[in-house]
Amino acid sequence: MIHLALPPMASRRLPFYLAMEEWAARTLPPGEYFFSWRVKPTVICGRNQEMDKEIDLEYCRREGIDIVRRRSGGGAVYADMENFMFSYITSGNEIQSVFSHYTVMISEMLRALGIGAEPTGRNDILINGQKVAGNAFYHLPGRCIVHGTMLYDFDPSTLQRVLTPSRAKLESKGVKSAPQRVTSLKAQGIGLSPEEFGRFAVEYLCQGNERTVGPDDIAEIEAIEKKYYEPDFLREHRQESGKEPDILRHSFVDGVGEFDTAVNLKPDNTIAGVGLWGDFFVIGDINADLLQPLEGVSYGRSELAKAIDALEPSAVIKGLTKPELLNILI
Amino acid sequence: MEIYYLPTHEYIKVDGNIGYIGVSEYAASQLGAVTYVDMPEEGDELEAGEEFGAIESRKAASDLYSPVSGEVLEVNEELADDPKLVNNAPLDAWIVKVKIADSAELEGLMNQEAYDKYLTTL
Repeated sequence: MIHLALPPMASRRLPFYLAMEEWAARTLPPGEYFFSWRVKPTVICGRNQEMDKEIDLEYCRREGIDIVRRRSGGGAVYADMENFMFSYITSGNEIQSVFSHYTVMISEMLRALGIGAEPTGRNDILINGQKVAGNAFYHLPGRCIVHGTMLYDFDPSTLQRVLTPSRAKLESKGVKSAPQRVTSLKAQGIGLSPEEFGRFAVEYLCQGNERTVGPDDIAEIEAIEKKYYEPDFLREHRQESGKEPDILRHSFVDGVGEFDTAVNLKPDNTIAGVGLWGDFFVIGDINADLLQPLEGVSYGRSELAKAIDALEPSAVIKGLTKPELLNILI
Repeated sequence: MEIYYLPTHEYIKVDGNIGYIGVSEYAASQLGAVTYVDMPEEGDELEAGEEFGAIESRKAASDLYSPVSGEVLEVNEELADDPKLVNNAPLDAWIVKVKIADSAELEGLMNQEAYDKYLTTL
């Protein structure tokens, strides 16, 4: 594997490094390339996320947190100087095999440091069941880009604070972010400083193979970087899909909790989808056992009551009876 | 309907001067569960070989390239509500319907036989 070595420079805004991945994928000869980078506090949205629904934009602006979008999929990620970003560019079309190769390789690297890391089928890397690295994939013709986080240290409250906890998410038609249990290399007792870890990763993975990224290359990268700031790509507010759900209700069920309900209907008045949000206690599979069975049901009290009769709401939401579920929906 | 493919796995099904563009079964299986299809708008002009949208799955995001030039007559709104249709039946789940500007562009594409052969080389 070849290390793409930037000359010493101050940390750039995050899209510079995403552009560097694209530049490598589009212009360098087939092969395996790697580089590692760090950025000042930044939130990175997935390609198809509704930014204003997922991110507390005002909070980020107030705190000086940069807000950008990547071309790979998935949920929002927060990064700062305590977090390493790894970029891996390779030839090929086989998404799953490239992903597996990458997560196995990085897990082995951590194990070489005495940290018991394991790749998961969902393309993350876990230590004792907690996520230390999350990865995303961007596919270009004949080339694959895998990039991901590697938490050296973190403040667990930060990601939660930048992500929007409100019911706005319910209304989002984009890809949603999911909070997860995370850990860091520092919490796992890594014996290296961040700088030492960064150097170790490059040495372990690339074993001295290097391609210098020169001034001409950087000019090409900067040209690609510009695309990431175009309003059409960044889309902080996405008007066309900011459509309100057909039905939006707020209710309170004594002893159970508060509910925000969003229902989207098809033209024939049957349910296309239902979302539930609130402070109630979920004890079952809310999608499979409560919401999905309601899809296709005509949006009327008697039809809904009949459909609900076949369900066990109290097995999914603690204390919720069938009549109460009906009142939440209509 | 005749069907043609790009090496990047987009297909175009051709009915006279109307084309239906989607992604092949191979692409759908590679991507896994599709979570979002980023589509152009009606009236947009597509250019052969140029990016016109993107498809996101639980595994990856991939750009979409247009097999031909032409105007978007319709986008498949069903995919906005149910992107998994791409997995269920990729060849039925067309993404955009276009008015083909120049049928001669089809000659540069792979037919089914050539595409099947191409898949064996991957």
